[in-house]
Amino acid sequence: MRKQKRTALIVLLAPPLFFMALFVIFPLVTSGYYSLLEWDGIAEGTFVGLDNFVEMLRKGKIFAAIFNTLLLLLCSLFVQFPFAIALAIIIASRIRGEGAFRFIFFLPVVISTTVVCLVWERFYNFDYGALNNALELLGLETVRRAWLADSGTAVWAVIAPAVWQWTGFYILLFYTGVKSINEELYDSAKIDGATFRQIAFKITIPLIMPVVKVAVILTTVGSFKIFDYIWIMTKGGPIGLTHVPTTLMYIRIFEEYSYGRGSAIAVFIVLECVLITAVIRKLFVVEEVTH
Amino acid sequence: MVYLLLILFAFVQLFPFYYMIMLSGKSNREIFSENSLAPPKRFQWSNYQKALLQGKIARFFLNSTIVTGASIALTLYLASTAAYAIKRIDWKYSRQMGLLLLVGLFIPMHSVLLPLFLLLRSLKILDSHLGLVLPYTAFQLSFGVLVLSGCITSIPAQLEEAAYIDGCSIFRAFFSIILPNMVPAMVTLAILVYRFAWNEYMFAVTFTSTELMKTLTAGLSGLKGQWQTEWGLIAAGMVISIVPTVVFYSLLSRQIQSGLMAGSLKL
Repeated sequence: MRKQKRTALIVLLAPPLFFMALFVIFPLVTSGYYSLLEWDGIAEGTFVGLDNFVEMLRKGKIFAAIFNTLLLLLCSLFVQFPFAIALAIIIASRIRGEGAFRFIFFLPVVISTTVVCLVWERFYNFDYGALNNALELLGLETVRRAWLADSGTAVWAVIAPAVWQWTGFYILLFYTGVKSINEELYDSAKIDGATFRQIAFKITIPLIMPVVKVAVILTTVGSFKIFDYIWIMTKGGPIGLTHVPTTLMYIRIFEEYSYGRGSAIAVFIVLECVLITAVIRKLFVVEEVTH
Repeated sequence: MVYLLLILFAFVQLFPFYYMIMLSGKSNREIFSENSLAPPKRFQWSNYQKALLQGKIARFFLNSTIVTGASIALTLYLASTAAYAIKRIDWKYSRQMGLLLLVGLFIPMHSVLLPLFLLLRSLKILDSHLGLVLPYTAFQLSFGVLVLSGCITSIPAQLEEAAYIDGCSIFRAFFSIILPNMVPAMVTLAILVYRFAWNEYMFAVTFTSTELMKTLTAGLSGLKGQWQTEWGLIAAGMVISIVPTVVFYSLLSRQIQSGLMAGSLKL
C-alpha cells in the first residue's frame, strides 16, 4: 500500500504542483528579480538594486495612476455600494419577479470586458454615439463632448463601464448576505412596530457587514488590477491621463522595453494587493452582531 | 414606487445589449448618418453573414472555443487530482502542499505578464493555443483546488474505505467513487473557468500576435483599428461572441450566480 501511495501521490499531485510552480510561482519570483535590473530585453541586464523603485516613486507618474485607481475605488465604495445594498435589500424582500431582476442585474457580469468596452466606446463617439445623440434629442447639444478624448471627462468615461458591469455582482453578493439573515429577527421587529427603513438600517445592514467586508476587499484589489477598460478604450490617453498602474507597466515593458522598470511596477502591484487585503482585514474588525 | 427603480435599473443594465444588437443590424450608411439610438430600418443580416463566413471572426470564435475547452478540461483534471491527493492521501506534507496550491489566489495575473511572456517565448508556444491554455489553467488551478477540495471533504470516507477493503487501488477509488460524487462541483468549476477563459483579455492580447491565433477578445478589439468603418460588422462579432455566454447563463443562471458568490465569499 505504501508504494502505491507514493506512486499515487506522484501521479496525482506532481502535475498540478509542477503547473503552479512553472507558470505562477516561478514567474512571480522572476518578476521580482527583473525589477532589480536595468534591462531592455535584448542586451544583458545590469543589476541596479532598488533604483527602479526609487525612480518609480520619484518620477511620480505612478501616483497619477494610483490616483485614477482611487477614483474608481471611491466611486465603487460610495456610489456603487450604497446603491447595490439598497437594491439587494429590495429584491430580497419578496417582491414579484425577483428571479428575473436578479438575472438581468447580473447579466453584465458574465459577458466579456472586451465587449463591454467596445459598446461603451460607441456610446462615447462624438458624432454617432448614443450619449451625444441622446443629449441632442434633449436639446443639450452644448453638453456634448468627446468623452474619451476630453481631459476633463476621460477618467470618468473609463470608470463608468467598470462600475456598470460590476454593480450586478455586488447586488448579488449583498443579496446573498441579506438572504442569510434569520427571518425571525424581522418578524419580531415588525411586531415591535418597526418600519421597513428602520429594519433595513438597524438590523439588515449591521448583519451583512461581514459580506460588506468581503466586498470591500474584492473591489479594492479589483480596482488595483484594472486593465482591460483602460487599455481597450484609451490606452492610457489622452496624454496619459487615464493610466493606471497596470497600463503603465504594460507600456514600460512592451513599448519602452524597460523590463526592469516595468517589473518594478509589477512587484508594486503584487505588494499593493497583498498589503491592502491584510490592512482591510485588520481595520474591518467586524463583531458578530447577535440579536 | 420601488418597482420603478428596479425597472429603471434593469433598463440601464440592458441598454448596452439593445444598442449592440441594433448596431449589428445596421449598414454603414445608417451608422454614420442616423440617430444611433433608433433601431435599424431593416435588420441587416449581411453583417452576420460576413462575420461568420468571411473568416476572421469565425476564426476568433474557433480559437476561443479551443482555448476555453482545453483550459476547462485541464483545470478540472489537475484540480481534482490535486484536491484528492491533498485531502484523501495520508501524507506528511499534505497541508503545506495544499497551501502552496492556493498561492495562485493571491497573485495578480498582471504581475507575471513579462516573465510568462518570456517563458512562453522560450518554449516556442507564443501565438498558439497552448500558449493560452497553460497560463489560463495555471491561474484557475488554485481556485479549482479550493472549490474541489471543499467538495471532497464532504464525501464520506467510508465509501473509499469500503472500496479499499475490496482491494481497490487508489486510482480506481478516485475514478469510480470520488469523481462521480463531485460532478455538481465540477460543473460549477467548469462554468467559472469558462467565464474566465472566454472573456480573458490581457493574456490573449499579449501572447497572440497573428490573427490566425487570436481569441474573440483579442481579435474583436483588434478589429477596431483596422475596420474603422465596419462597426456593424464588429457589433455582429460582439453579439456572436456573447451568444454562448448568454445561453449558458440562461440555462444555468442559478448555478453561475451561486458559484461566483460562493467562490468570492470563501476569500
